[in-house]
Amino acid sequence: MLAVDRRTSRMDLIERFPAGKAWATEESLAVARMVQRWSDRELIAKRQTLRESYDELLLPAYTTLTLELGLQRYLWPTKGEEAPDPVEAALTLTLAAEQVGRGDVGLAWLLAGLLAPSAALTLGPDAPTAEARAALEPLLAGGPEQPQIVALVPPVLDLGGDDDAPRFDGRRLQATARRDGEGWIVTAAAARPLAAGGTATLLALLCHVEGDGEPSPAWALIPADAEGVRRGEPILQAGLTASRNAPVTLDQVRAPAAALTLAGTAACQSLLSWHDLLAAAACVGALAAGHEILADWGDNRVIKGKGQRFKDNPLCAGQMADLSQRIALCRPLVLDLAHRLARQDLYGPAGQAAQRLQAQAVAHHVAASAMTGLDHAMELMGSAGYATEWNLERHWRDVKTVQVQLGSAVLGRVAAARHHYDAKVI
Amino acid sequence: LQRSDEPQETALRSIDDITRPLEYLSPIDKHIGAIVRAWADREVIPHRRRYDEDWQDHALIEPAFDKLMGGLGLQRVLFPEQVGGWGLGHSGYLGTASFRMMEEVARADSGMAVAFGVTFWPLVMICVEPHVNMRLCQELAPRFCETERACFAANAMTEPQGGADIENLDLLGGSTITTTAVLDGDAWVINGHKLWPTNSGGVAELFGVVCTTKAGSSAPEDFAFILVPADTPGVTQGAPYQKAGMAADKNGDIWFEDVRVPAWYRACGPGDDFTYFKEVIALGNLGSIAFVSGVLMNVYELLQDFAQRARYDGRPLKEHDAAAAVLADLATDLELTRICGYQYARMLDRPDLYGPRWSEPIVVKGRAFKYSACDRGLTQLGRVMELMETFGADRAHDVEKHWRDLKIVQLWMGGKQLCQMEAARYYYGCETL
Repeated sequence: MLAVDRRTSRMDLIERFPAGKAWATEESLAVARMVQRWSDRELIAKRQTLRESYDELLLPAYTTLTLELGLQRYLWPTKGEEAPDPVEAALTLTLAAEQVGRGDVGLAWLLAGLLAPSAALTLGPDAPTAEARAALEPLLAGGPEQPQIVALVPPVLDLGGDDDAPRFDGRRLQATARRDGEGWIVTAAAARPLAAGGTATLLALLCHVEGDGEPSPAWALIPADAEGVRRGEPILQAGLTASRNAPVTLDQVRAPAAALTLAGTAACQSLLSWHDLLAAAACVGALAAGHEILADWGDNRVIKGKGQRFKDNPLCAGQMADLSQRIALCRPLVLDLAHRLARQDLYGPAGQAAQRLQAQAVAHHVAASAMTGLDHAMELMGSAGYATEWNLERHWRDVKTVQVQLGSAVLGRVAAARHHYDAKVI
Repeated sequence: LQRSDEPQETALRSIDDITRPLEYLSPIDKHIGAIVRAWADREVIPHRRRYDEDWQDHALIEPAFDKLMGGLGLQRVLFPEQVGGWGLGHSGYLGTASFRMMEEVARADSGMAVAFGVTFWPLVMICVEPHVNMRLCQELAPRFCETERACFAANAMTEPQGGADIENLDLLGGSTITTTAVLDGDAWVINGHKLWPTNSGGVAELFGVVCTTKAGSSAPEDFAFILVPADTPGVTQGAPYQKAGMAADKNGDIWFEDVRVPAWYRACGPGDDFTYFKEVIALGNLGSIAFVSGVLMNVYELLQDFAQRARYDGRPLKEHDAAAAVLADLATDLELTRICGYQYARMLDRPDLYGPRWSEPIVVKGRAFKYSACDRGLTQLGRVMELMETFGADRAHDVEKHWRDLKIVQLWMGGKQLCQMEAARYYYGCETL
């Protein structure tokens, strides 16, 4: 279990925008506040001098978060410890992801990649076998020295024009797996991860599984240092500096049987649902960051040359309030989703169509709302909002990058129409 | 009608199929458009993905500027022919010709378009009829007209305490300006601190400095616009700011400490500086619309390729009705932005019909067109990035750079809220805003 530091901290997202109190335990809230202080201390206090330095700011902070605070092991209790209750665990991780996103959305995106496979494996009704657990725990929970970074490789829009390529949700699967005795052979050519292809310790590739009767697709969990894994040139993106992304090639990489534990459509969708939840929480965190920056700006700027404080102008105040309302509306959505995904006894498996669509809808909605809120915050701050010095623009770039990687909301709505309106041919 | 799931072979449209009011175009439109587009395709578009890392040094960016502004000579366009310019300032096509140049440069890189366009801002004050200052034109033209190198100018307006207040002329009348100009014999002595001018950060060779001859005054005759060569003793420029984008446009602090320039370096004189500075605002808004137009033009081109190549559910993205609606919206808003921009340009070119370029209706309508174009442009870029999914945030696909760059066009010159308030005052007669 986590060693929770229970001291109080500054800007309290949880109290200012309360939600989900009926579900959150004292332990969940204590973890959230601990991560809040980590965000204040390790990121916010240092970013003015270190900006977005990966080596000096982001990687050390991630290391502290995963190892010292222990989030990496949270879902993998050591022997003798009780596994966390799913609702408490889901709430705890969601509250933590909000606070990480408040400090740096890119780190929250890494956290989502790290925790989503573990959540899919441990928070559902079907726990992995002891054998699978023994094989997977070291990959996902790691040891005490090494922060684990997971690169998820989902299907993508096909730029190659191969209409016969296996697809999932209309997009091309970037990897294939086939049986090899008791284990698997996994292959991928310049596959594009969601994050961290250049630095990942573990690759999670959504594979087409070849062979009749095989449960396809499946997530293949492959150590990034496995023989046959190569990384390509860096992929430069609009934001998410914490994610050093690069394509990965797997040349006939051997994997044990347990590597494909998350197999079949529902299991694969389950991981994506948990990932969407944590990504949405990261976006709420970005809104909270915007709130803090704007609050400072509103107190300290005057307009119209008359000594009128920025926040005392009705137009500006209204825009500031709009951002706050977005937090107030998005937090309950995200925390409700955490509760839904954890209460699979009530709502069904996290990978079931209704759950998956809900997760996708919440993630798309919250990301879009965060983008609009941050857009407005930048408009209020003018050029200062655009300068790195004020630390707003990094959240704006990061959230946009998250939003596009969540997949097109327009195409997502097509899937929702299929489900809700039984629209079979679209 | 037969419907086939297979796409029919149709001719691809190009940006030249997007509407422009042809009856408004300048006689040089075709030629100037062609040379700038060729320059953009050759000198910028193949290299622009590396510009973000070049934001401090401009090692890649500067040679491209040299070719556009010095080599092709476009930095001369505003000066009268007598001093080596092209005479655009008295051509009757200042607006429409400028719009074409700016959108073609912005198609490649809106940051370059800004740096290029802002060079003309201080020159507008002295090169455009009816307020040509021939003595200053003769004095300054050689810097721009007798070189193959790019020569930049900048408008030093914004100050630390005021943000958008300087641009808020109708409400504040320059009363918040703290940069002072004091006449000492036959010289102005200037003291003050400016932030954010485009082409600061060590780029500009000439500043147009907005200052006051009487601190706190809102009287038009106390508003002064004085030209200051950047190498004048007492001028200090800070390092460029790091920003979300716009690598080709450097911005920084400028300090003026007992800077002395000849008294005749004041652009138009008491009262007239205030009047004609509003023309600068109008042209700035025109340029901003052109930047949006140019960016949307290029994104339209990029989508022609991407939406055909990217396949969803086994078909090109553009053949899915839901995705096609997004593509249609972008093309539609490009049409609207371009038509609106050329219309405004023509309004600036025909003061006999629409009133002087510095008049309230022209300035306010420019602000309205500008903020509407920016909102449209950014909305469309955001939606396109989302449609492109993971590739939308990639440097390798260029759209994200346009999105990052364009954001500041919406933020500058007082931002959206100032535009809204000016529009409200004008259209609804608001008296207390």
